[in-house]
Amino acid sequence: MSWVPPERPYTGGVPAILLTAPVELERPETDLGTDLSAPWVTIVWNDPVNLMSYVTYVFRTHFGYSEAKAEALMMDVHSKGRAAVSTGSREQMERDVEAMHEYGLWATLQKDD
Amino acid sequence: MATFRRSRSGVLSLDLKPVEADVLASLAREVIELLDVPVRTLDPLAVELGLTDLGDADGTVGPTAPPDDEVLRRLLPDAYAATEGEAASEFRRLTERSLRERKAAAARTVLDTLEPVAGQGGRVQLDGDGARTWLTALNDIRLALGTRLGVSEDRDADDLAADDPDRYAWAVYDFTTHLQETLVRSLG
Repeated sequence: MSWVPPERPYTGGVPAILLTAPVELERPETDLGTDLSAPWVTIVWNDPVNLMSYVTYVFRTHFGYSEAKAEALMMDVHSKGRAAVSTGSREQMERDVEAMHEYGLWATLQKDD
Repeated sequence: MATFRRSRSGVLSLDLKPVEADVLASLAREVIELLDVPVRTLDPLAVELGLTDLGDADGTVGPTAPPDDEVLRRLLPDAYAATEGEAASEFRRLTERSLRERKAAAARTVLDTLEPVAGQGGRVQLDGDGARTWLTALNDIRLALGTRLGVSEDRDADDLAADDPDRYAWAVYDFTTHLQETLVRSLG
């Protein structure tokens, strides 16, 4: 792949791509239920942009999972559309979700069913 | 195409052509502009210490509704499912501003790294921290591009007609994908 046609050598200046406009984001639909004692889970959802290698890297880096576990979770996300990647208190899961968002993964938390 | 390589000492280097350096800088600037973070709140120490989460005097720290812009909604998604709107709003109120700041700070790191090679290309080098910051910033750039382009499991650049106006953006997307892939592999 080349950047510019060979007959047009690059002379500086690149166009804006992102600062234009819209598409509805799909949102997961789940019910948290009412059981206050149930643990919470962090769910990572499949995404067509995030690289499989990067998702595995994030699971290893943030959660400290082994390469094998991180890769298995990544494959679950990729093939099943979602995976529960951590379990704990609501506060812990909120921290995990916020970290996933900082990495750019699409994550939500919910009560464990 | 520019590719990240790791030296024996662990430093990652990237040799960029002029257009590659300028494309990356332009994308980083666009992400920063999209995130729309007031300059005063970009104090890295305050961001690192989480002080920016403390909020204003009236207890309002950030927006409760998802952004209108599709790219921003992808960069700053809801933390709860659609059926839990109230929890999602409260979480967003408390966290969105600092998440924007951290993402903008990462993009700014990319810009700073690129400044010496702007307009002329050349080699940039990253230590471990720099590489990790670049990795997340590149991911935000790819999320933004992918959202704009409508990337999906069954839509990629191969589907484009020769005269499709999005060809340039797709080429840029593929370039950033290649960069991120080689960066994440270099990090091991």
